[in-house]
Amino acid sequence: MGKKPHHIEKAAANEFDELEQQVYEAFLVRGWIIPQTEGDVSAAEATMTDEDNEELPPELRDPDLVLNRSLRRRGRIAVLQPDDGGTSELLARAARDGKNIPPEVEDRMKRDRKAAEHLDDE
Amino acid sequence: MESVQAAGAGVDLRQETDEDLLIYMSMRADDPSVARAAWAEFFRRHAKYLYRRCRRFSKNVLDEAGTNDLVQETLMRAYDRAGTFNGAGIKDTERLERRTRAWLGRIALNIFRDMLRDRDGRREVPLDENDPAPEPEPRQTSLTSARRQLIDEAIDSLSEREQIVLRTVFQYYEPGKNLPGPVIEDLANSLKTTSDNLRQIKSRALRKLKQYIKSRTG
Repeated sequence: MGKKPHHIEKAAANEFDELEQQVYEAFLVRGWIIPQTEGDVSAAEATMTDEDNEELPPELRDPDLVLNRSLRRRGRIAVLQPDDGGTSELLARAARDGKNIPPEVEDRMKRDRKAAEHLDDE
Repeated sequence: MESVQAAGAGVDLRQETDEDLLIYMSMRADDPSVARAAWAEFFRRHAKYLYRRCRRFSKNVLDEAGTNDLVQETLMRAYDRAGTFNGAGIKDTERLERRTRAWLGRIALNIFRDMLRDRDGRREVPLDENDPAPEPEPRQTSLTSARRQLIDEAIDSLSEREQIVLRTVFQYYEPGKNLPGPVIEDLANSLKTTSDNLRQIKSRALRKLKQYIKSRTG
């Protein structure tokens, strides 16, 4: 099959680009795409009606509560980290002073290393 | 643990730009009360918008609680990474608002992907959510209402699978760039197909759209 003349190919490509752009805009208006550029935000919000301007659910209405809730959740995640109990400080001090590491601290190191390896596997 | 007492008691930041609010939030270690006031104002301006967009986008994928989590996590990540926002020297407040919302959109999309990956037990591969170079002024759409209706009908004529592929392709489209590998992988996994097949589904969907429109416009 012969190749299409260049200008016809180019015209077909442009037509397709235009169609894709139009489909993209239709997706934006439907809310199927999260706007990620200034132009997207404009296009998505251009057809907004009063009906679309819905209220936030109760759990998202108060900025203080949202922030505190998120920070509390983060606090819980922090608790999941092994309780250090001053081990890090001892290790750092031992390394600085070139001292021997006490056996209980060495045990702790081994446990921490195992836990870290286990996390890496996940 | 950091805690919020009364967000921004006595501080009025309503005249500040979004970029300024984000700067105040990023300086929370220096001035927590102003940071909290900035957070409250930022929240007032954008939470409803974000909720509206996330609700529509995640419909049929996340339940109500999941959508609320998506909104909350997006706002919190904006708070955490406030210092990474780049206003690109834009002075016009409406344009800056659009740029801020576009940034929130990129954050939300990343979190949405994380949520799906967590649900499916897959590894997290974050995509870039940093601010791109400033865009030219957004152009107005050239779509007439008749044309828009025709496009909508054409989209409805596609299968659900074809719609999902096109949605994903368009969601992550960047001029001159291929779709990110992790996105292709996710999509192929969720549709239980191969990346080659995805390309074929996309081509077929676009062809069908074109044929549908041609058949109704001559």
